[in-house]
This record gives sequence, structure tokens and C-alpha cells, in this order.
Amino acid sequence: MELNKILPLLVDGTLETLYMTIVSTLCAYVLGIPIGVLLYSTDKKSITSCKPVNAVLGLIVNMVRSVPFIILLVAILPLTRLIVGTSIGSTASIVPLVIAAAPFVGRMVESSLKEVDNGVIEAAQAMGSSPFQIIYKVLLPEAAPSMIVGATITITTILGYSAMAGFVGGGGLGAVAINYGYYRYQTDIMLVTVVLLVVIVQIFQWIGMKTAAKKDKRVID
Amino acid sequence: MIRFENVSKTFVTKDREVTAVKNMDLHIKKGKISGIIGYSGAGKSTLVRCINLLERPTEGKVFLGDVELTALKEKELRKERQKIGMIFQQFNLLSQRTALANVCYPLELTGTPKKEIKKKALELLELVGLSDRAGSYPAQLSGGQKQRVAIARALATDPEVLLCDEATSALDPNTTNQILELLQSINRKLGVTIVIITHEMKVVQQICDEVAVVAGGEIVESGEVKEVFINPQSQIAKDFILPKNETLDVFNNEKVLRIVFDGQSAFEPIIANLALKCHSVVNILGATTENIGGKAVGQMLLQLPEDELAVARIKTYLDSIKIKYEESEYHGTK
Repeated sequence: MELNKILPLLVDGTLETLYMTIVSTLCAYVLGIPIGVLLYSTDKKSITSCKPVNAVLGLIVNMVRSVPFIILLVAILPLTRLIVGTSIGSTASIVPLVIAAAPFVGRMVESSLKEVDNGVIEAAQAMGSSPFQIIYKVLLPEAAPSMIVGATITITTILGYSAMAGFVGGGGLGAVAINYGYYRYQTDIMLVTVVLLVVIVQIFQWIGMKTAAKKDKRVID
Repeated sequence: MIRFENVSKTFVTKDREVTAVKNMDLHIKKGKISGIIGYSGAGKSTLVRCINLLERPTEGKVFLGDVELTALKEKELRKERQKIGMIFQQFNLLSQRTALANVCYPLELTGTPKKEIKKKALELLELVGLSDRAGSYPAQLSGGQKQRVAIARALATDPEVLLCDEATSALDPNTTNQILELLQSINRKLGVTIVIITHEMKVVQQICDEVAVVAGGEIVESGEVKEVFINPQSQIAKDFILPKNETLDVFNNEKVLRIVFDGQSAFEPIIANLALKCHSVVNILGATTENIGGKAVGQMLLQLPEDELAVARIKTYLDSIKIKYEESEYHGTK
């Protein structure tokens, strides 16, 4: 295959992958942050503890997380069609990606919130903060650096999942790798896509770590 | 100012119940600095958390002025809490906020306009002597500076009461003094009632007007600091007051006399006179001079002679020159 045919293919694939990954991560956080906050604040140690909510939410989160992504991908095809209108292409892949990632994000956010020192929460309470004020003025800002590290892990995980979506008609580099590299035995194309994915992961990782370090005021260099 | 009526706090864990505060009646006087002293596990921290209801008492009533805090709904309680500032051993500053933004925090809760918040916060940083570190994050500050920021933050809502939970326990002696001086000046300048929880007698002696000695969740002794120092009633109060000296262990269970002298009598050669007039020698086991509310008060531990007559003579002599003393068995506490 000629270079002028491969190149647009790879460029489009990369752009599609970035589109799927970034949009899915954002959506996953829109859903995941409230899930994480809810998991944290209904925990038995929390001031707003609510055992039943915590148990039900925790069960749902664990259930979704334990379904293998490739199964989830196929299982929710009707839902994807309902939301996006089609089950093929990169936009359609976003739906399963978000559904798979949101509970994962929820757990990530929960664990970041748990890192916040209890004394700080106690101080905030002593100053007359409401539970809501504690969440958005104390917990979330204090946990932000840790949540950025979590987001870096999430985005690379979603990137990996997005490649898998290529198997069932999703777009992106995953689809290129499967259609050309696997079905047509063009090992070189497969190799290039893998290298591209590695590069993207590296870039995400680097940006994430830099941002977290810059944001974190606990460590002074 | 603060009043406890029969307050108890019991923690229930899986296998047992722990009563941290037992049927306690407490009265903290307005405008004073009150110390609450006790060993670790005596229930001091739970006690102070019962004041602003960070721990809700299992029984009893807590009053702030005329308001019964224990009867308030969550929302009303949050409003009342703005009248009670609190500082902690570990400072508990928001690590992702600058010193200035930390002081701003409690004012943000009250819905004060932004401009006023900043103005007030800067004034408070000035008050605690940290105006030049307004833009620093807690990680860039020393322990003493962090506690100053915490004090400024606690004062932001113009509280009537300032609770200090082991506020100087994580600081070195020098910094401890500075923080105590700052607390004292705040008490005098702003008239804020201060409650200090501590396990160090030194802290109580240096700035407190009143003291309550707590053990096993109960107040075993309370009163003016000077009174308690000169004439301690409970064994725990005595343990806190007696000079700490490891070599004293040798004298375990000896009959000793603790004599206390303040101000003028400190200049008289009491022991020399005692030896001359009573014709008996005494052994000095230990002596300290303590700063109590700004006055030097001395105390000395004397080992008594075996001869009971001699002991009687010594006591009569001390009575005649109006020196306060008490006889006790010394157990060489460290």
C-alpha cells in the first residue's frame, strides 16, 4: 500500500482515537465525580453516612466494572443506537466507553477523597461548613492533585478500551490496526498503530503528571 | 460563657463501650483563659469537641451563653459554630490554599462580599504577625507559622470563644512560648474567651486564669491556677505540679514536704533559717521556679527527718512565717 494512502488513514485514526478518548474521559468524569462523591459521603465513616445508598451504589459500580469491556460493548448496542442513532463509528464507541469508565472513575475519585486528612474536614466542620460546602470547598480542591493523577490513569485505560472498540465497528487506531493489520495481514500497519498508541499514552501520562505536580501545593520544590 | 450540664459521651465499638466524658459539669468563664489539663486518654479532646458538638454528647446539655447548643438543628448549630473558633495540634490548614485563602475560608461560608473578606483576612494575618507570608502555602510555612495562620483563620468570624486542642504540642518550646503569648494578647485585645486543652502544666501556668484537671472523663479538680498550684488536692494535680526530676526515683516512697513560696518570700533564706531555728537539717530533693500568670512562684521538695518531733518543729516554723506546705509521699513520677 502506498504511503499517500496510509498516511491519511493513520492521521484520521489518530484524530478519531483522540476524539473518542478525550470526550469519553470528560463524560466519564461528569458521571464519575458525583458517583465518587456519593460513594465517599455515604460511607459509614462519613458525617453524611447512609449505608443502604452506599451498598446499592457500590454493588452497581462493582457489577459494571466486572463485566469484560468487549461483552459490555456488544451488550449495550441497542442503547448506543438509541442515544447516538448508530452503533458504528467513533461517536458510537463513546457510549460504551463512558458506561465502562464512569464506575471506574467513581472508585478513583472515592479513593482520592479518602486521602484528604480527616483533621481538615473536622476543622471545616468546626468553622460551620455544611456538608455540601465541605465537598466542594474542601474535599474536591484538596483531592484535586490526586484526582488528576487518577485522571491520567483513567485516560490511558480508556485509550486501551477505545482500541478494543475497533473490533465491533468503532473507529480510531484500533479499527485501523484490526482492519488492515489483523484481517489483511499488514503487520507493518499494525506495528505503526501500536507505536502511535504508545506515543499517545506517553504524552497523556506526561501531561497528567506535570499538571498534578504543578497543582499540588503540598510539595514545594 | 460555656456551660456543661451533666454531659456524658460514650463511644460504642464492636466489642466494648468507652465513656470518654462522664456526667461532667463544667463552667468556662467569659473573657478568661481556661486550661483543661489531663494525660492522654483522659477525655480532654472529646470534652473540647463536645463544646462545638463535633462530638455530640450522649447525654446532657451544652450551653454557649444562653443558647443550648445540644437543642439546635444542624443548620442553626452551623451558625453558632461560627462563634466558636478552633485550632488544632496538627493545624489542619487547607494544603491547597495559600495562608490568605485559608483565613478567607470561614468568611466565604458566611457570604461576606469578596472585597471585605480579603481586607479582613489581611488584617488578621497582620494581627498574628504573618502579613508577609500571605501568599505562601502551608507546606512553605514552619509549624509556628502554620499555627498562626490557623489562629487567624479561627478568629475570622469574630468568635466569642477560641478552643485550642493541644495547639502547642507539636511545637518546640520557643515557638510554644510565642504562640502562648499570641493567644494571651488575643485574649486581652479582643476579649475572646479561650479554652486550652493540654497535657503540659507549663502551658497552664504560663497563660491560664483557671484550670480544670481531667482524669478518666471526669473533672477531678478545678479552680484558679494559682490556687491549684499552691494547694493541689488531687493526686493527678500533684503529679502535674511536682518538679520532674528523674534522679528523684531514688527517693521512692519517702515522706516529703512540698513547700510553695511566691513573690516576696522567695528572697528570704528560708531553708537556712529553718535549719538554724529548728536545729535539724533537711535534704532538698528538688526545686523549681514556675511562672504562674506572669508571677514567679517557687516550689521545693524537702525530705523530712525521721524524728517526728523535728518534723513538728519544722511545720510550726513554716506556719509561723506563713509558708504554704503540704506533706505527701513522693512516688517519683516522671
